[in-house]
Amino acid sequence: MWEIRHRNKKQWISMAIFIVMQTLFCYSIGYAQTQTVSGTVYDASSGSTLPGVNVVVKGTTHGTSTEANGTFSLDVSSLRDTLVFSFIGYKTKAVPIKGRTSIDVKLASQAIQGNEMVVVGYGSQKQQDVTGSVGTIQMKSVDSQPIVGANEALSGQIAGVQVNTTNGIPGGGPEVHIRGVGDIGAGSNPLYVVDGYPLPESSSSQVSNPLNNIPASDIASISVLKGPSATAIYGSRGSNGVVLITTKEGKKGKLKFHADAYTGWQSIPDQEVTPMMNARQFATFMKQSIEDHNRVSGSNNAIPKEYQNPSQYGKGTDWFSELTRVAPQQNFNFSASGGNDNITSYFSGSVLRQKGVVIGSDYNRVSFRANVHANLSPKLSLGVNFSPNYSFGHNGVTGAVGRGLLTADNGGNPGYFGEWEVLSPLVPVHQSDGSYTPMVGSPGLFAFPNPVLALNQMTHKKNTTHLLGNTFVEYDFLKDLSFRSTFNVNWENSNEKIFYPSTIGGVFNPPPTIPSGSYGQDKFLNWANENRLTYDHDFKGGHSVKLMADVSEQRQVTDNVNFNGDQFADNSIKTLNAASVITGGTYASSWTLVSYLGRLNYSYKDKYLLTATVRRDGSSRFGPNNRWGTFPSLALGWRITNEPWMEKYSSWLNNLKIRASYGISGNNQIGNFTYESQLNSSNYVFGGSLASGKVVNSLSNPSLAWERTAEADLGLNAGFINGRIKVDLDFYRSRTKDLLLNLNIPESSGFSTTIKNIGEVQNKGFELGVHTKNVVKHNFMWSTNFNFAMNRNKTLSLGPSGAPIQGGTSGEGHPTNITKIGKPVGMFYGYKFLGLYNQSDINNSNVAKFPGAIPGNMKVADINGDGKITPVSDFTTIGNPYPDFTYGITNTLRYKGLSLNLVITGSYGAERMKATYESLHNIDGVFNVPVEMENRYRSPQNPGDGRHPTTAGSAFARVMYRDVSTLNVFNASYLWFKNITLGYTLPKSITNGSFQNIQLYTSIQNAFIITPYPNGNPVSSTYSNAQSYGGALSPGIDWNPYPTPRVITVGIKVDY
Amino acid sequence: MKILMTKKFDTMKMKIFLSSLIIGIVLTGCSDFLNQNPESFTSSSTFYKNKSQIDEALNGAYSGLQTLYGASLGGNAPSSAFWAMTEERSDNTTFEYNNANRGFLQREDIDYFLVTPDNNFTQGVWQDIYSGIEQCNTILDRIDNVDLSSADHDQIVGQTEFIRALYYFNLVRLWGNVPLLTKAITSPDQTDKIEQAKPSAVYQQIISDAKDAASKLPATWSASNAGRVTKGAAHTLLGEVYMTMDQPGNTDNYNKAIAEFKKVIQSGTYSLMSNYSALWDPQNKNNSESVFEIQYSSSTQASYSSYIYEFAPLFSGYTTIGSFSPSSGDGRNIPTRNMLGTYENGDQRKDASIAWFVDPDVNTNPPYYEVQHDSLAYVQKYAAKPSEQFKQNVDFYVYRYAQVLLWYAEALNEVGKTSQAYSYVNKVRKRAGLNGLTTGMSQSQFRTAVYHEERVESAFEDHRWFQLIRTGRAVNVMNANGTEQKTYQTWLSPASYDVQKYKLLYPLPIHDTQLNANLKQNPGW
Repeated sequence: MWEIRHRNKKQWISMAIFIVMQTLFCYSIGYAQTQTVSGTVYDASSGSTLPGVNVVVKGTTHGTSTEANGTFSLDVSSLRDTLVFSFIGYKTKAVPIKGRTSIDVKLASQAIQGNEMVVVGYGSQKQQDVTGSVGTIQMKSVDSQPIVGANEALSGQIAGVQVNTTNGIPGGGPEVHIRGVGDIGAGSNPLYVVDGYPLPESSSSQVSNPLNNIPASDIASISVLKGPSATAIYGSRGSNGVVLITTKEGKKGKLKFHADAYTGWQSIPDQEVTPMMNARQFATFMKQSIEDHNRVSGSNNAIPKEYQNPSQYGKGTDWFSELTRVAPQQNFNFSASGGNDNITSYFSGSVLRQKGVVIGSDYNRVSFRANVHANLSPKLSLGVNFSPNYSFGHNGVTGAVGRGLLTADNGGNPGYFGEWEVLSPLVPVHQSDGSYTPMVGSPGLFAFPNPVLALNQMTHKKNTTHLLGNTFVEYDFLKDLSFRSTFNVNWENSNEKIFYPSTIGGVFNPPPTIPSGSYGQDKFLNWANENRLTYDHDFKGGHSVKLMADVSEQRQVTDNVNFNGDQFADNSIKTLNAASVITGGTYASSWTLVSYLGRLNYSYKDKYLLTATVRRDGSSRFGPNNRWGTFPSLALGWRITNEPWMEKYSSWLNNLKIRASYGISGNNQIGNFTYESQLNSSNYVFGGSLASGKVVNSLSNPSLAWERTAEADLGLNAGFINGRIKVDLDFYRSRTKDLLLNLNIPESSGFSTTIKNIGEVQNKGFELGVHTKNVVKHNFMWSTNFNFAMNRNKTLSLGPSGAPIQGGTSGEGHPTNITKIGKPVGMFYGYKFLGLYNQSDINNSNVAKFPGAIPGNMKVADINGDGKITPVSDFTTIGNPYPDFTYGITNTLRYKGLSLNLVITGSYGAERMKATYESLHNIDGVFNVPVEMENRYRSPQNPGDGRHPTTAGSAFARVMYRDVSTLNVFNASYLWFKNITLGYTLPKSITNGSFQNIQLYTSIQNAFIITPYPNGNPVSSTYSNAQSYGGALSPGIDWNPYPTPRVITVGIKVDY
Repeated sequence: MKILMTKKFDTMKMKIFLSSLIIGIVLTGCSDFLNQNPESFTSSSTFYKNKSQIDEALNGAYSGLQTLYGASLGGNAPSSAFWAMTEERSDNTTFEYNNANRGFLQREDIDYFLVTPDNNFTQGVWQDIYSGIEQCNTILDRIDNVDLSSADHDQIVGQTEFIRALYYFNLVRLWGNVPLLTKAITSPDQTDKIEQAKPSAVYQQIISDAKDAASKLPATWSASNAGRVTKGAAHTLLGEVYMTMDQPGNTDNYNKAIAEFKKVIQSGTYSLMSNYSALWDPQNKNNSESVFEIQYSSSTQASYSSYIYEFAPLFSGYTTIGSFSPSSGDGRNIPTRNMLGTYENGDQRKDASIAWFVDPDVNTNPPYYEVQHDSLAYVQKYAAKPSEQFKQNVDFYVYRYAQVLLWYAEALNEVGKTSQAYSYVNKVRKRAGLNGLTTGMSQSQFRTAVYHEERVESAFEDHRWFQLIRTGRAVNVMNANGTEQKTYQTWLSPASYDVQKYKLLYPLPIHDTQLNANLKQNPGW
């Protein structure tokens, strides 16, 4: 069914786009008549034929590559065209056709590599001239690989860059971390720059993340700037790294079409699901815990009849499988590009439909792009990149940070997927009459509203309209001097509508309830103007100078609306007009940034390279005392292989460059107006009437200043054996000063937290990237990309007192992480588990205890040595959330038309804390518990495995079990087979004629993980947790995010 | 054709030049461009400039009291756990044990004397009080720069000082050794330098604030200002402060307390309401007996009270609360059996203070662990029916004239003037439908009688714990109470109700002791 609609849509879109293009830009249809040129390509020295050589009509992207026997055949529009032959390790050769239809070509091998242009921010550079630490993915090099999203092109490719799908929220994008733990104060998202436009932070949310939001087929290249020496040019926003995305431009020449479509199935891997007790196990657990309690306390509580005879039950309800599904997703992209001497254009459209693996969630997106560039005169060019998109979906479940319910209770926040774990397996989803069981509860347990009912009956809709536009005008005053002015706009408007009908209960509150709902709107407009002068001149004697100066300003205005409606009359009208009580309001905020920046690139005979940049940023986010910051950088490079005396090694050493750089970048992700002391409304009542009141709600800090990171980087790039082996190596050390932290302060000040510049953190690291072409045979190609990174993080100082900083909050209100001088930021913090008390421990007064301890309770270390066990006072460092090293291995194999791509990423030595244990380890008999609780202590004769305490005894002891301790911290090393893709390109003999290229593929994303981390994905995160302000003080916490699915995809790509 | 192009080109050059010029002009406005003004909130740097702003700040200072004295489960009613620290900790109330809701364990620890320094709820009260003090300090710091008539100035200062004194009085009684801040904190750097004061210094500050307030405040306010602090409230506060500073046996401070209460009584402003139960009728707010009363209103946003949702028995919803949420009710602040038994026969205050919930559906859904659940007592004083879900219109008395009379009697007895004290106690007893005390009691007999009278008169009004401490009886009374509770609360850990002298002060919140090296934990903790 869908396939039929799919095809219709495809035809419709291609026709529509074609018509639009014809009306707008009157393409010459004369290209339709073609001629065929064929020939063979040989190695100039050996005379053997060369397979896989790119053959392209000059000035277009129209081309082909040579077959196994070195032959090629290409349709050209005119026999006056020129063909360009290029192949890795060989000098590119342009051959005018001059009316011939058969051409044989000899290619000479070359020692020089790295002539590709690399986008480096505010311009581009030849790869060979780059002095900073920059990783680049040219999408055309991965075009032949059937990748589904841009993040897959990036994942596992660049050392020190972690690109992970950390949860499965429909429409959600990857989480990107670049090089270590730089900015612990503000979020850890890199800065995204699309076609030169630095996007606001609000665009890097999980769904609007450009790596997700821009279809991979629209992207020409992605550059990742690592470390301040490369990112200093982005000044105050650079210290988390910068991801530069360049979209495709149209190419002169024949109109080209590209279409790709895939359909996929998402499912949650079994190994990531916690095995919870089934009905029989749980009834047994409840029965035994009441028996144990009665025995220990000498009381005689009755066993509810539901638990008296556990053997009557079977498996009961498996809430996980009731709430999840195998979810389909489909995507279709179409693009058309072409141009003539004056105008080039690229158009594309894409449709994504995705169901969530959790019922009741989905995401749909339609997006378009038009990139049109025009040369109005030899000196003047203009361009517009315009990309609107619209998305809509249901996102009732997000796996939000924190604790709560799948569905909202009164005033609660919805979306916590982990609720399924604690539900009673004794309760069926449906009653005998087929209707939903309204409440899920068993004697003694929390009574929850039935989540299957709730997810199916509530309304939780969100739609977003998003517009990204770049315009530029470029004018060449002189041959070497050009001026470019850009104006960029990013606009987004999203609406969220929520409605809970009366059929959904609350906790302990069976339906019918009073219907409630809400309406929210978030709107932002961000614009940036940039004006750049570039001077580029090669002087005599090998001196080459490139100067760039830029003035830019950027502003964002945000408007939010949020209204809650309560006491709807009934379920029929779900908009707020039917609510009898409406609360809420509208909010507005704004920020501005003014920047002056300049860069000098100097090179002497392509051997000695120098890049110096300076940027001065003024941000409205800082207090009047510290509004401006200056961010300089200097980088030096030496291309040793360009020295004459290196000639003798050129047979095997093609390229050797060493780089040294130093730079300072900053961080201003602190929110608007943070420096101001904020007054909130807090009203009182006099004489029965409202008396409007104001209270100081936050502490002002007019001297709030930039967080600054200074980094030194020493790097090396080398290429061996005709580029068959490439090695990139970087050592770096960075120090971040004046961290912007949201700190706890003594509450006797009248405030709990304040934002302060405090402390200094050091990151030291090493990154290695090795690219090898293992086999380059006629029919068989095998290349490997290996990268390895290690980072060591250390806190150097923390404020005047140097006192440790606690972070995170456990369910009991205790800290989960601690930052101490000399140690990494945010180490895990909690009880150190020693075992369970036995009777002799209880009798022994030398064994530290808490009041009311009995045998079978948890025994933890008495850290402060006072003989008593007290929360927090007896907490200690219990784990390190950072890996010893991370790595990625990508293997690409091609045999004739078949290709196999295998991406593996890994991490070793990190630990993670399961925050979900605050409910999974609740053994009060109010929740379902994991199967492993069968191994708990019950009596001296039946002591269990020594890791699961008794359910009897004091509440304090049971709370201790669900509080933070070494029991919650696990080794999170992993080896993740992230992506396995098999593709097949149809032979030219079949596609010849109307198609240039047809490729079929199938892939498995998130194929499987090898890890000691139990019952979960060791990489999963709720995204916003890591990004949230100050979240870096509590890293490595595993909440119950929306699960990351395994996705099996089948697709096709067609070029014509 | 070629000529045309060139011409076009020249004008183009001009246009580009002009465009660049325009961009240049736009960018010269940079310094203004960086000055963004917050639209959605007020900033303290631009506030506190005129009378209406200072008035708003004062209203804000009052609003902190709504939080401190409030109680709420759900909704947005302002609330803290102050009632748990002052009433539920005493022998007056306990809570209904709900196995299915262990999320409030740390609040139950307050009742059981199992509090540890990490207790979230005591920390919350600490935070609420200091937040209120910060508001008061800010007003007092900034008021001198505001153009005000001296009458306005005095009235605002007087109210602010009273509120600050009340906050410190609660603080010093709960924690003893606390930081004493009389200037607002305005920068993060000051927070590291906060020092701990001796209780005597805190009391000195309270007395000086309350005295100044008494001198500056009017005896009464117009109807539209009903609820503001009066002279009488300041004197009552001073009287209670002096009573608290003395233990029975000393007389200096009792004499001072007598002088303060006398001013209240002789002012003629106050009289007892004829009907005790009418005191909590929302129709009778700010009545003749009300000396200082926290104002709530169900018709205002987030200034309503919500006591019954916290205090009603578990899941007693429809029956106790009215027409909202059948499962509402949290079973907190439930009168103990000891409290139920302490009322004399015929004391009308018992039925006015306590109501009974009879569960129609015993033992079926859900199961209660409290054996008396099928007919459970709960606090009636704050049970006025809500107008909407969570919105009650009940005020909370900090000071009532009946208390002034009883405290006056207690103080007179302490300084040996027992014979003069009877009439004041008897006024209160008479209103409760009881006979007067028989004259001829010894000092200690009278003491016992007046303590009992205070307990029942102001039951559930957050005075009991302070009375037990003030009168030096807390350790004995609470150990006895613990023994009694354990006889019917079988889940109680043997470690509970281990009442020792050091536990009469709460432990300072670990949040603050860890962050502020100047803060020494109270002894014993």
